[in-house]
Amino acid sequence: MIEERLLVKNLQNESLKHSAFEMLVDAYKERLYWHIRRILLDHDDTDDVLQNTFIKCFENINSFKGNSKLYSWLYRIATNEALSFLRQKSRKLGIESSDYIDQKASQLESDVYFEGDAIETSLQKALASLPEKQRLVFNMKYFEEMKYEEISEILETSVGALKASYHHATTKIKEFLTEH
Amino acid sequence: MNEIPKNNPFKIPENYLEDFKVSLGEKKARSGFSAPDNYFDSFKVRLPEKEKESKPKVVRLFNSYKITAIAAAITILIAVPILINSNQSTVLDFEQLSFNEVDSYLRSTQTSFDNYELASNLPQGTSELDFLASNKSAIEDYIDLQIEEYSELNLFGNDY
Repeated sequence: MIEERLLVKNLQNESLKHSAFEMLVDAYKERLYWHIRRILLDHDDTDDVLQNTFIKCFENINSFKGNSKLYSWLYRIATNEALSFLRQKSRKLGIESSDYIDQKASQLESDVYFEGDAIETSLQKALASLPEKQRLVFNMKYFEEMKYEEISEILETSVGALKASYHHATTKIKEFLTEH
Repeated sequence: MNEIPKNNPFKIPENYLEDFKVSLGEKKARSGFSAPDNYFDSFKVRLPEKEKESKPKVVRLFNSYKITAIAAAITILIAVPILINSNQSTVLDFEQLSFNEVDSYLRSTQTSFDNYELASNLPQGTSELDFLASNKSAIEDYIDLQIEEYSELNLFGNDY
């Protein structure tokens, strides 16, 4: 894979921008898809947000100063896009975004793009009951196996606060799974 | 220490090293989600048209600051008289009309009123004498003005 610094340089060069962008999409589409999918649960919603994420990246690449890693920047855009999508969608339905996620989680068994067994389904329902930040941190730590330092750079939260969020999340999930 | 044999006492199962694989893909916890077949192979970002086409650079005749300033000036010119007028009564009183305005209106429309029409426009209960008394100075002014006009035309002179 092309070195990140060179990729950014090419993305910020008007004549090389489009070809570099194709490389960027190829390199990150799958990882970002799963990151967004775990936030939104629904494939179609995820597809919309993944599109928006890359478009935002294309439009704003010149403002990327290299203060963080490119993948952290991309993950941050993807996370923000997913959360704002969630808020817009729930606002249109006149409900809270947590209720929207609850609804999506309760429909997982009938989702053709969900192949989870009973435990995985229960885990998603437990995750849907968590506050937004704890759900994000749990997904990134447990499923995506990111380091706290990486999550910290993406969510712009201290490592200590992330550890606390993860601890609270696992405690609540255990309680949820015991009760259900 | 030198008396201890250095042979490796451990053994491994047959073909263990040949069969050894690092199962990185299976390490991560499963979330149960799946994507449509070939979704990632066929995934393309649909960039907006404006991003795809390299448009020729548009040179603006006016910059946005000038346009904003002109628009603001026009708005003020239009809005200020409207605001001033809106503070005034929109119902016109007869008293607000100047004598000359009434006079020029009557002249331009060439309206002739007979006595009955004049009387019908007077306020009820007002006698002709009262009307003349209340408008005495206006009538005198009107007559003076007419005399001046006629004098200028030499209608009273003997030159013709």
